[in-house]
Amino acid sequence: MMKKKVCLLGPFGVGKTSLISRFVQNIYSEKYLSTVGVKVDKKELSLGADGEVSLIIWDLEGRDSFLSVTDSYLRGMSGYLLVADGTREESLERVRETHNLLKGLFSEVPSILVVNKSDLFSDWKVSPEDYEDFLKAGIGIIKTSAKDGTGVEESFTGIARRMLNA
Amino acid sequence: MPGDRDTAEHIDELDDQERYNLRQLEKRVRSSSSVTPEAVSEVLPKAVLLSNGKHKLLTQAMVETTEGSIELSITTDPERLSTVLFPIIGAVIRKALNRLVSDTLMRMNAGLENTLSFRRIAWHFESLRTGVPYINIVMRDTLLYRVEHVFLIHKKSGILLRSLSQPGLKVADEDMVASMLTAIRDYIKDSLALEKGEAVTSLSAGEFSIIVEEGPYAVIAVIVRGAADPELRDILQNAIESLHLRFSQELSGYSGDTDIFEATDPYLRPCLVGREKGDRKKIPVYALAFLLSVFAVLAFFVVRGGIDSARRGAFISALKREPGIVVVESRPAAGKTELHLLRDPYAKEIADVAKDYPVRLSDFVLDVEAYASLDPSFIEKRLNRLLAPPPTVSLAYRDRTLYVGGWASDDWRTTKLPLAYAVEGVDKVVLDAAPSPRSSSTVRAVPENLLSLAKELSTRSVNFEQDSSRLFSGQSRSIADLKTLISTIVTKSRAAGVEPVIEVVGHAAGTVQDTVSEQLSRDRAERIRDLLASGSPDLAASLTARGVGSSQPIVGEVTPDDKRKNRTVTFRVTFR
Repeated sequence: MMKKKVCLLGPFGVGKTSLISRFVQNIYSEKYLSTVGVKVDKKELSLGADGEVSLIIWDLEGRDSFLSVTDSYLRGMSGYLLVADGTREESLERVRETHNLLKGLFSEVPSILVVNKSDLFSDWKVSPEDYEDFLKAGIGIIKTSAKDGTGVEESFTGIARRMLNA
Repeated sequence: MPGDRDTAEHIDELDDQERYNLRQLEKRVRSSSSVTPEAVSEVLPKAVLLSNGKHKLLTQAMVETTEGSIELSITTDPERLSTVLFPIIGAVIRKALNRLVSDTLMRMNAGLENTLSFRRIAWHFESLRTGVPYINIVMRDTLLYRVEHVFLIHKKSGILLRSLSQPGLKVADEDMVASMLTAIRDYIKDSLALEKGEAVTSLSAGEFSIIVEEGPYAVIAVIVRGAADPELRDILQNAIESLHLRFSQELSGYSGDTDIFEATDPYLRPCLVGREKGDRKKIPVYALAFLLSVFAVLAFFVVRGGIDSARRGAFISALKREPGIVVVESRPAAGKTELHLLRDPYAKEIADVAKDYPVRLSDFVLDVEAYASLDPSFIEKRLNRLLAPPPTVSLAYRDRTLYVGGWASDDWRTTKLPLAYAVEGVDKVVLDAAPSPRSSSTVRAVPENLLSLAKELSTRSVNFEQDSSRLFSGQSRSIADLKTLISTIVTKSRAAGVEPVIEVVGHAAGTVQDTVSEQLSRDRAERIRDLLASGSPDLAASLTARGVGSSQPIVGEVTPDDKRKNRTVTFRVTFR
């Protein structure tokens, strides 16, 4: 079986850990658990014709600036999810900064922008125009809700397919 | 010129292709740039091979260039060269380190060898028997551990490539363990700002520890229960080096497929080592028995030596207490005790002193020298022997002076008495003085018949039962004869104008002079004096009694009969 390392990156409080919990264990904790440093989870996926893959998911500590994230954790990753909070406009800006930094270091590594908290869509502060530049750069965009599970499976299977086809 | 014409004709005969080739040839010959890189690259390998076969000039010429290239490579990208050299350089470094560690162990060995305990003695014994350094045996017997899991982890991504565990053991999620281990190591390395090339090689928690050995593309991590043997590090190094040699391409080009690393099992399995209590050698019964025997023999000699030493010490102390014997020196010599003694001829024999102690004289090397003791009793004995006084004369020595009392012939007074000055310790001879009540008479001429009678009396004796003042039976006749003899001496003395003093001297058997023997001898003397004086008031005035204990034995005591002879009283006559 193929094993792929995927990292989740995004500012503090955007819901990275909750997304992983929902994806790996299909549960959602109402209590937000801030990650400390890094936490690793694993999930085996069956992608039909693309075969099976074991995702080693690295949940990196959410910080306001990606500059403080140790790049050691990113070494050897095959793909990454950029996670933003639809209800916090500045979170998208932080994700954009992160993406710009990673472009130079991991230009060949596929990624997806995940805009979380779709269950709070009425409170969203970001619009499709705000992340249009990601689309133009060839980065897939998926709206998710860790709370109700919307888009969670698609996010991980999507990055998995991209990694296998990279 | 004719030649030129010929050439021109020949050229005319060439076709187009041949003319082109000829022009190219001419161009290369005429042009200085005819030696093109392409041309050189074709001939250079052959030229190098040719040069190597013939001489070393090319090798010498390349030295500086090669050194410069290596230097440049290290300066610009040190990891590249170290990656290439990793599989071979590891072994070289390990060899050097092994030697260093070995030297250190040897030094520790020497230090530890000086300490003793039963277990350590057993280790020493095994070290001697097997030739294995002592410290290795100590470490082997004290370190118990087991490698329970071994992981081969992709260095860059932290992805688990392969894992093996001891039978019956399983890690809950090996992938996550491998990744978290990688993350933790990275975190520590970043937090401590470790240099490139430095890495976290071990972690521990409780009785478990994780030991990591790195290669350029992969790491081996083992989970160990207990305190790992230092040899484990060597095993891991060997494994990671072998893996990089065998799977270099697969590791460097890893893209997520882990199935190909199933072939690494033969390299990883040797890492599942351990030493558990069950693995320890069986108790070496014969060796232990031998060791115990050695101990028993040693203990026997030590205890016996201690007892012997105590006995010899007691004997030497007795010699020191013995009058007339001086212990000049005593020292151990080849299992024996060397004794340098001074002994007065009148002192007790060394063998007689030894009789009272459980020692063998053969355990001693005796060096005995004669000397004259200044002990008054010895001086008195020496004077008695030298002067041989008649029974009617009493000698007493005190304060370096010889006091002479009683009756003696003129011949004795003139020929024998002056010899007293030859005795060491005698500064003065006093005649007719009163040094003691029993010898207050002047040495005067006594009729010969009285001297004969006195001499006769001095040969008589009475014997007693052991430890008693009771007379042996069958001596009534002797007692009666004694009484008659003494009565005659008293009567004739008074007739000659002198007063006899008849001293009854009591003796006791034995070699120890103490108050008991003195009292016994006194009781014996008084018992005879009373018997002789009984019913004869005339005799009672001339009779005295005293006991000398065992200090003046009649005979040396060797047999029971000798002891019997010394349980006696004797008689001594002086005149005044």
